[in-house]
Amino acid sequence: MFPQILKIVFNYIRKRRTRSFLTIIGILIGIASVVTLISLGQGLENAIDYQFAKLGSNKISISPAGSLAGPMSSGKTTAKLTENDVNTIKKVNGVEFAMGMYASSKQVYFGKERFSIPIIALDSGAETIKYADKSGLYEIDSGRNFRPGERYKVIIGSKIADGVYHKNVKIGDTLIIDRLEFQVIGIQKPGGSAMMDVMIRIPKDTLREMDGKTDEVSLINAVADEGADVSAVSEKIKQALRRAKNEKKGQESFTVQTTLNLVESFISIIGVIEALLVGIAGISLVVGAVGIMNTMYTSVLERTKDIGVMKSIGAKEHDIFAIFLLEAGLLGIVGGVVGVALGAAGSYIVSYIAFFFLKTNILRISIGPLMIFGPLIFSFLIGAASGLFPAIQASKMTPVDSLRYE
Amino acid sequence: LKKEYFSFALKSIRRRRVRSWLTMIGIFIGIASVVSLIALGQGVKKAVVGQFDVLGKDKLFLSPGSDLLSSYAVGNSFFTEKELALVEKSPGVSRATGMVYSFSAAKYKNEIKYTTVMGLPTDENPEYLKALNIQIHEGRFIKDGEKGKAIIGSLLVLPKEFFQKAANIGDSIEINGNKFEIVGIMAPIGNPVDDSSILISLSEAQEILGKQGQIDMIVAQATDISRMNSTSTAITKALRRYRGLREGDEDFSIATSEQLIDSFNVVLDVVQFVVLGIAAISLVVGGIGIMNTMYTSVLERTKDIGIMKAVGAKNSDILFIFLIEAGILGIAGGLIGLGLGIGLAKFFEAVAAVALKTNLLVAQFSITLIIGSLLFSFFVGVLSGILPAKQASGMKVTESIRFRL
Repeated sequence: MFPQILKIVFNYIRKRRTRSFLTIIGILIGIASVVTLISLGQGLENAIDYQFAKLGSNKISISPAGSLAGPMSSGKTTAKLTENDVNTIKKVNGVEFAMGMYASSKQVYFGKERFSIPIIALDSGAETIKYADKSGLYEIDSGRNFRPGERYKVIIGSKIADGVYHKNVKIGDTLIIDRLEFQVIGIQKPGGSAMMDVMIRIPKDTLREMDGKTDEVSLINAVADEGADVSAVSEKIKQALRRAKNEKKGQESFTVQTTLNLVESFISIIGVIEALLVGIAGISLVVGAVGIMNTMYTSVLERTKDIGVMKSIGAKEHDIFAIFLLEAGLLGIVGGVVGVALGAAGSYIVSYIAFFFLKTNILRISIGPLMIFGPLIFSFLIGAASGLFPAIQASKMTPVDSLRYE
Repeated sequence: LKKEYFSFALKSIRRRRVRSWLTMIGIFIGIASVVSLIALGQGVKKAVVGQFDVLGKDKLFLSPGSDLLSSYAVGNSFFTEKELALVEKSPGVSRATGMVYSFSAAKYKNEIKYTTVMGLPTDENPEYLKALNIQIHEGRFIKDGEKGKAIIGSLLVLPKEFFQKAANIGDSIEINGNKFEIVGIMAPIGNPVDDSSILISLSEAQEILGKQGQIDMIVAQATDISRMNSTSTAITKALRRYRGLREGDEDFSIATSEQLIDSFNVVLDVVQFVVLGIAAISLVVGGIGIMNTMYTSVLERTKDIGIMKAVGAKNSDILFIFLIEAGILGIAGGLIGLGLGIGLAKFFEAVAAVALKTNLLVAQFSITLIIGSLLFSFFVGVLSGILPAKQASGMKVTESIRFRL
């Protein structure tokens, strides 16, 4: 029976070529736009995951409450972290290493030229230098790292060396910050973003002295032990800091964030935007489904006589029902197949355009089986659902009335 | 155009009721989503412009960072009192107000929370403060020279919104360990950050926030609205000379409220463009639905067309009949879609009012939007009907009379 039903369905779809074609286009446009948007959204999520994976997932950062925009915004909050807090964190079980950074923005002179440049300072102690290497905080491209006890030396970002000042800054050159002379001893490897490349490092105590501070830190970076549960360690850090600073839960003057937290908060924002856009694009799928329903009603109407004939020679209600449901489902799934192909192509094209203009891979498109079979099954279901009422109408027709229909 | 064209078209639409409805649904879903998105988008724009209008077109905003919108990025740059005086003395400036703000610990009934604390000069008159979007809802403003008084945002007055316990006038609140008496409550502004902030006097804020002699933001009032640009240039020049900077090296920024509006509008336009583009896809699908219905309609009436032609109808008559049918389907769908879209936009407006606790978002239905969407839906209908109508008008009399479905 089934092959016969399929044959009837195929014949009819082919007979009404224009109508079937237009109905399929209606569905494929919707499927293609939804597939494109979802795969672009996932591509963005993949790219973020990839970026953070490079940073390492065992990093924990502790910042004063309210300094949401990073270490440079610490001037906009009165919550303070100190070296005491760094020591508290160092003693927490599962913390391999912790260091406090102090950040400040200063007018930096090179010759007669001056710019306001962010300065991020850390200890010049041997331990810090060893860990700075290990945690990938920065890498020296040319020159050398700080030596313990050095005070008036600077390491500069790659863009400061070449790009900010008219003349290139070289190793051995002198920069003047707050009327003090600093000698350039090293240049960092390019990190790829303005935040990492337009900055200067000087020993922490020197910078704090210039700002009249003694033990304040802007940000604490901690590294969890290899293989440790990072979120458990960050919870322990919170507890230890609360106890040391005598603060109640929910009233902390600090925030503890893991790389994982950051990734999750990014991805949840992207998820909301993606859901919104896919929802709007989904409207066109509804319109396409209405198109299928319309085509099916027309198809039932046109074949009223055929239905009568089929029924009078023994076709059962469920046979008629199956014929029309299958026809609707087929229209849906054909639209789905073409739609998925177009959608996949569309998202690759967009990612290439983005790569061409932005020069970085911000969209890592990967179209998995779920991305292919999900929409296919969905489009079949949409088709079948739209065909449900017309098919029921067709199956309930009485042979006498339908044969008489003109 | 003959009257019969319409009666032919209407008859055909009425005869195939289910099909006509489904076709119109296809169009009105698309129109409804586009209309509601545009209305809400315009509403957001109006709300933003309204916020800046309150600030006044005669104001200039100075921030110590080199980019106004990211002044947070360089947190420890600031203006000095001397620079504030310099701004006030610039030609075209009638007065300049300095403010400080910081994220600080506020303690109320043994609960500590971090919130924005702002320091404002107390020698300004209330009208001027209103222009800075600060309105006293209850109580009073801090009097000039008064110490230890604070004004709180509207969220602090409600229990569990910010503090567990509701604060009120006369209560005492601690900021960074300093006691303040609450003397006033601000009118709701509409966003949780502003509505949970605390205002104190500028001099006290500078002291307890550790910002002696520092100013985080300057608002300058110009004497002449028509000369905003030259006033802005004069201030820039004065500050540049004082700081010894060359042109183009400014480490501060200055903008008129108009410039602020423009930069917001550019972002809003891009967002609206993308969202509308995606929503418009459903209109394309709806148009294809009309085309499909029209092809079917032509097919079904092949015989009628043959007869009409045999009794003298011209090709152009047939073409018009089908074009009008398609156009009616489009514009009828557009009418329902417009109604639905207005309802939808009003619904989201109400949802936003509840969810965001603000009445700022009011959906805007301009005449252009209403007429435009109707014309557009008619246009979509006619456009989708062109090919089927051409097919119908080109039919040969003999063949079409002999046609059997």
